[in-house]
Amino acid sequence: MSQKTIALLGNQNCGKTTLFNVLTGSNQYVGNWPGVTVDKVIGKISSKDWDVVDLPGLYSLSPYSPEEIVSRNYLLTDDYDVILNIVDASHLERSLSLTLELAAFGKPMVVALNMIDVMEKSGIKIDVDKLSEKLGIRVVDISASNRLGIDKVLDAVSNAQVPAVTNFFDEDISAKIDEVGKLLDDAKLSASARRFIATGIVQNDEIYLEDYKSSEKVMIAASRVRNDIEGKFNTDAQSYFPQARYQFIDSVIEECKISTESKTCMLSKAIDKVVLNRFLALPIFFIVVSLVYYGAMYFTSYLELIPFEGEEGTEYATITDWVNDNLFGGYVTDAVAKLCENAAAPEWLSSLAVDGVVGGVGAVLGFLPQIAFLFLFLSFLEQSGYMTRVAFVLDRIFRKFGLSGRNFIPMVIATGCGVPALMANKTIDNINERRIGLITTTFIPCSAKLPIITMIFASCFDGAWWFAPMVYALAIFSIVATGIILKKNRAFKEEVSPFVMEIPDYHLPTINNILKAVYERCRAFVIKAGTIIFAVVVIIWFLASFGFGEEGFGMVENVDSSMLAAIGSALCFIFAPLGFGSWQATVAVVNGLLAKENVVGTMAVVLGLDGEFEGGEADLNTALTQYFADMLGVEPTAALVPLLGLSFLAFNMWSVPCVAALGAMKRQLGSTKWWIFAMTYMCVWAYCLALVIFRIGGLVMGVLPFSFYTVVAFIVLGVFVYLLVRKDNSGLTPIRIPSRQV
Amino acid sequence: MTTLDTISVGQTVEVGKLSGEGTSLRRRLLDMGITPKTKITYVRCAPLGDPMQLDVRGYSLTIRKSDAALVEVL
Repeated sequence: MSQKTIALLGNQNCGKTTLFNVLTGSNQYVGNWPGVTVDKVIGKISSKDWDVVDLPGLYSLSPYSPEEIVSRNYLLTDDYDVILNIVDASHLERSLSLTLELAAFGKPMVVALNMIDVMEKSGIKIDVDKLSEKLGIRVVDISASNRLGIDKVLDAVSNAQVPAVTNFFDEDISAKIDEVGKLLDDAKLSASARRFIATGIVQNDEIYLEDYKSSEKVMIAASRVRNDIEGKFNTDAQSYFPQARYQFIDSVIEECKISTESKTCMLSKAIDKVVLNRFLALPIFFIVVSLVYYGAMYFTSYLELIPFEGEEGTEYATITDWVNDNLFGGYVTDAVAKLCENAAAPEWLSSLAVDGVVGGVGAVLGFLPQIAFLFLFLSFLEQSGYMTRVAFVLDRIFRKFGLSGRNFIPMVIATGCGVPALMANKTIDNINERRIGLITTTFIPCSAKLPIITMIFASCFDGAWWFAPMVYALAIFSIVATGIILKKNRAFKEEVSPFVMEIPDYHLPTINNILKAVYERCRAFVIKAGTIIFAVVVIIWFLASFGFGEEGFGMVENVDSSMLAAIGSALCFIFAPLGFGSWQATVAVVNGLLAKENVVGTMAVVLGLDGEFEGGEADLNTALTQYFADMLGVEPTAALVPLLGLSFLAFNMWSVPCVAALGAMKRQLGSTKWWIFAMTYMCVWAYCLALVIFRIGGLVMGVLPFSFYTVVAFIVLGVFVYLLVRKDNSGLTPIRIPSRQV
Repeated sequence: MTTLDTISVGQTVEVGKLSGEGTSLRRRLLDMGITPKTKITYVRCAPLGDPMQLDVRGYSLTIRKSDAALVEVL
């Protein structure tokens, strides 16, 4: 058996990734959400020694999205042997349009007609042999999800033929396009590549026009073809080609259809009548989201499932508590401590291992149960097809601030943890919306930020009921304002790709595919915790544990004399305008970068309470209120104390997220420049918000005198209002993708 | 001249011409099967009146009204 490379292509959501998994046995993520595969994935069919390249799902080869450009550039190279085109039998017309475009590459090709079972249920039968004959391409019927017909596919691929020339374009026009192709000044191009590019130029394909605009003879020949088409068919070149394609497809299907008793996807339509009903859609959506969120919380934080041997015999703990207190706080810590003891490790090493690594990484992994359950529910909704409908329902709201309906899912996930939330932004195909989404997703308070909210809530605000809703309102305000400010910026108008999206039929997801999706996402989360967090944990631990003590440089007992405290003292002037210019608060902010719940722990440590403040949370609250009051030189009951608390909270909440999320953000933004912009923006945003809260809030409440910083705060407020209301005058941007993005 | 964004829910129309020549949106619409003479049914709109859900060539497509204005219908 010879080595072959198979390029797997098909529409979004046609079962391509399912077939890829069946062929290669790999854990590729599957979702009933158009556009899940964004990166090119390669798998191996071990029995055959073949490579399968899973390309992004696409509807055509026009330069509409980065995925389509990536795919067609791949197809223009000669690095593959066979095109395996998956066609969704239940949406035959649209799927065959891509098939005809692929046939033009003149490579051996096989069409796998998928979901034939779904189609037959709807009362339509297709004569597969006749379809093969009419298309000039071998067609095999399969059902990827039921693993039917896979052998037939493998057999067809090993005997794949170049599509017989079935020219559905006008002969005269085809000949002229080939002439344009011959003029292209690139010796490496094959005949079929020349034809593809020439067809693109004739259709005003931005990218190829850019490449060949300097060649006058190509441009003239192409415009002559355009004129010919317009003269002959009374239509422009761009619409001629798809029109001719669909005409040909209509005639082929007409001949191959056996029965036409149309009952197409009755169930999906019936469900949508309720779920997408104008009046019910939003309430249903809120109920579903609440169920998902509370379901995840209930299973992990309320239901006491796990038995363990406590002080009073067998006790039960919730999954989250068990992971945090028993697993990481108990077993792992003890085991590591014991290991260090047995190995006679030096004190600094065991401190690094126990306090640094187990503490830091464990704190992040403690969220894993919650995230896993959240993923479980969300994967079900995604694979069933509901999430696409959510995007449809919410699009109008999100569009107002530069996002689309699809940005909603990442925000739900962000209430649990920012890392998977940022990863979920991958499915947003509009690059502007994706970027704004990546910058705003972590504004939603994640579960690691909850301890900060609780701390300020209990200390400075004395448990006022409206405090938590206010924090969430500020988070939503941050997202909306950021969206409105950024979307007006030219940088966020790089490509205006419109919201044209298929709504797939509902599928009942298989348990296997859901578990795979949950596993994949959790794995990515754990890897993040194990790499970036690990590295930063070591650094922060080092800074916090070493310093210049009485005996020179070495390990210090007290964090006061550590390097971290020195750095905090050097940097604390930055936060003075916000009211908390002390090294302790600065250190807490820096530690928050590691994991946001560290802010509370750090405050407890630097305020002189030891790490075990859990029994005496009241102590921390009193100490913190006293500390803030001392910093301001007022009584602990003064109205300025809550303002300082809110300012401190605002900066910790809405500045950059923890390092794990920053890593995910960098990967998803795909560019260091954008990453630095995002971090800068978030810091500036949080800083300004905290400044305005503290300075203007203090002035309005009559508890803070007018000062230089009040002026600064008013200027900030003015600039903000200007950015919010200024005219969006670059609204006439043409709809196109600059070729430099490719 | 009627455009696709102005038709009412439940109506079935036939596509005439598509404006917005040279844009990638137009090409996308054509590639998705919204070619002249195609029958399109407006199934429903989202709760806030936009985007619209269409039935095109046996599948369900959602499109914002501002984009649908590109499509002339008969």
